[in-house]
Amino acid sequence: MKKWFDRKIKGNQKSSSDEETVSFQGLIKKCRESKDFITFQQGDNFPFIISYFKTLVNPDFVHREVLDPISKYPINTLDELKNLLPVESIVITKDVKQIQDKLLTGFILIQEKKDPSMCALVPAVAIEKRQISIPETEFSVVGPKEAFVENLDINLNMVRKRIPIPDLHIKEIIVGKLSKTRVSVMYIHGIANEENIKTVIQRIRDIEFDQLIDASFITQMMTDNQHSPFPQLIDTERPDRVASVLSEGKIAIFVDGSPQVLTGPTTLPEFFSAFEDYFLTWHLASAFRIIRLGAVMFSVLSTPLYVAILTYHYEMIPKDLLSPLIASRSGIPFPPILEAIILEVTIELLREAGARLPTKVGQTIGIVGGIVIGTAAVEAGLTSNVLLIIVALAALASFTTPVYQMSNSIRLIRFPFILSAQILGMLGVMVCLGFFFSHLLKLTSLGRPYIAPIYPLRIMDLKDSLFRLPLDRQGNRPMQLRTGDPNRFNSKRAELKRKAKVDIED
Amino acid sequence: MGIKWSLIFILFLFTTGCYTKPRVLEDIQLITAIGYDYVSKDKIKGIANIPITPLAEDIPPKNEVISGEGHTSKNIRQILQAKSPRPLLSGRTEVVLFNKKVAQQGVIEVIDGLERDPSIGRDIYLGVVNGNVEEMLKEQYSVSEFSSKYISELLKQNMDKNIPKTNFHHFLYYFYGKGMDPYMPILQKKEKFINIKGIALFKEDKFVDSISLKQSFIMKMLSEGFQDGTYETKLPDGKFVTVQNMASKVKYTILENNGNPRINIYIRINGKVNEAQRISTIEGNVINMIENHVSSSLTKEGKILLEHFQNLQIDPLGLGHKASNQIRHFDIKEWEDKYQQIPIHVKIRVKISNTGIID
Repeated sequence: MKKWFDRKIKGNQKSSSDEETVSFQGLIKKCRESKDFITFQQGDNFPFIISYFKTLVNPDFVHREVLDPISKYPINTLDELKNLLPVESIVITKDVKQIQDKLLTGFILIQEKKDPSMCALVPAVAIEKRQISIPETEFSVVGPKEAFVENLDINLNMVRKRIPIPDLHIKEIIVGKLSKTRVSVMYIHGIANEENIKTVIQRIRDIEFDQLIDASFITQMMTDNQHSPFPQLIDTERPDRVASVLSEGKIAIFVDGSPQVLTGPTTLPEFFSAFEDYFLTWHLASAFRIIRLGAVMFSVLSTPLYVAILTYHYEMIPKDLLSPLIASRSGIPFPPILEAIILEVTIELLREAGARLPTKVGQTIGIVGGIVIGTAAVEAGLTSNVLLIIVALAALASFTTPVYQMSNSIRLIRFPFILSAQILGMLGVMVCLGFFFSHLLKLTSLGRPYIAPIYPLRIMDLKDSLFRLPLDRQGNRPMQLRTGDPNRFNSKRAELKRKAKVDIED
Repeated sequence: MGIKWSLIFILFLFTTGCYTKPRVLEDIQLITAIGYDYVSKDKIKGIANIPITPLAEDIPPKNEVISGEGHTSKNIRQILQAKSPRPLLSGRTEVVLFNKKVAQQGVIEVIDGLERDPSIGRDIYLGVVNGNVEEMLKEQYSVSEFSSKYISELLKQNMDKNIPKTNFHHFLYYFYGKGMDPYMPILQKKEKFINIKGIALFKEDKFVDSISLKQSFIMKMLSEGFQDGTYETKLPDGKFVTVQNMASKVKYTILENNGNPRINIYIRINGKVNEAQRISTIEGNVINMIENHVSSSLTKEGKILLEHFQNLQIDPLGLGHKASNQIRHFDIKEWEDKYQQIPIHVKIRVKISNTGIID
């Protein structure tokens, strides 16, 4: 098996090296196969041959900045051309591989008639870009309202303008045999841990894939444990969030064509902190975070507990709830487990249908789900209203998680809990909880512990995890990131300044 | 990896027998109260109060009892089960009641089954019924949907104010503990209501005597600190005054001198005048007079009650148990022999700090 596997890898490598030895003529011939590849000479006296992909370049730019100057001034060599054209980064080369890469990313190929092997490459890429819009999955009422777009350079710009220092480094790696996607790794030199940076870069380099479409591909392929239901990198669409985690000493990964930026190493509590928390006073932010954590526990455990208690532990039901519960359960033909699974699956169906449909149709799904399925199911005696309330609340609670990937995981991990509640009752729920806790304990994000401030216990890091202390208490960067510079600001000086201010007022 | 997973798989194979039987809520019949009536010397009648929840939500639930005669409580359970369409489960039992005659014969044999059952909570109430238990449980009371709920709520709120606290755990603790004797409240059905008549005093597990509700209040005062509860007394001039207890504290000091133990009970009551018939409480000495009078009459009644306990050779206050904590080289045999002669001093200080909003 292993031998066969090794041979397969070798075979692949061979084919990729074949590709590199393409002659210039071969390349042009290949390109001619496409209808949008244009090669032309303007008149017989024209000293150059110009070729480009019509669909990749900006035609206005070609006419105004390239063809116009060439026809006006008598130039004959590529060097003269390079000096003439008001375009930066013109490359003159013979390297076929470079020519191919540039040609296919929107450069114009200019050859001299006399020496066709020498080429000048003029950038003229047409960028079709979307307007910067407001964040949708991480919307906040207060705070900045711009979100990342699909264009990598605009995304990088949005972060760089927030951290205007030369220490903000960007490393670029091309990934994907077919897509040639630009992946940028951004970090603040001197703050981000060197080991973390190397881990990220190495893992991105190790990715072998043909078509890299979105940042989530990177998450899936470079995370520590691919089989874990928990996301191990946070994806965000907020440039302000990226800027702030960079200054904490984390690393951001930008992928061209993706409006999501990955940040890491991350910890579990970070998934429950909305970025809006930092715009509110610390009491509110802490209260909301605790509510969110409670919501997650409720979302995961409420339906399994319902199943466990109704199936095994009738003693645990408060006596005033007994008769309403029996009354609402008595007409139902299913055992609690089937009832719970039917309702849970219904909610998942509603969510899935709502997510797939256009917004306007999606509204009707809400009505169908809320009124038709909810009320009718109870009236038809298919579910009890107690469970309906529990399941609806649990679904609602799962949506409070600020990070979308995490809220999906939370809705999914409910099902093993429900099944084990049916098999062993409360003990089953506890066993399942044990499994998940030990899994979380083992999990790492870029090699750093996943549930970090809690285990291993970092008391100083608790200041911004399950709750958020005031900003002036946030003087240190998270200990678990092992940053190059542990201090965010000089807290002593801040203290002195505050005191000085009081003196003046006296 | 392969070994690990196959081990886990084998483990599952071995544990196929280790599953608990599901007891889905609507497929079982809960018992909420258990009662025992006297039939003959070695036969008792067990009564189970089973609330019947109707299938529709807007029909009120029904109070129902099933009963059967037998020698042991588990045998009775079997007979009861033979009458029920669904499995009877006693995990939600709230009250266990004994007919007076059953209690006189001794209850520990009857509750042995309950004691061994892990599904029965230790915080359930026990009670002695003056009269027929089945009649009491059968009645559909207008104040509560189930008789079990009525009784448990009645006992719960009265144990806060009027009668000393006790439950299954307390009963067992006082029964098995050295130097103490258990007690239970006495209930009586009167037309559409159930009354608490007082406290049933037990010697070992046998009902020996009872005290009235008014004496139960004194007993509560002697046994634990509490709030609320009112005490009515007649002043020398023939008028009645009612004092409400706002907070009381009791302290026991047990001393021994040459093998002669002595018990001092010191009670501090902070109270308020609830009702005073046309007595102006504005004058300072009136309040003083009421305080003195209430404390002296409480002291007198307390002494009577303690003498009563001593005469019966029972110890529901757990004096022997308290003494064993305070006396070095305590010998329970010796204590029990001397118990009737031990001098007990009761000192009660009443402080009235509030006379209401009238003056």
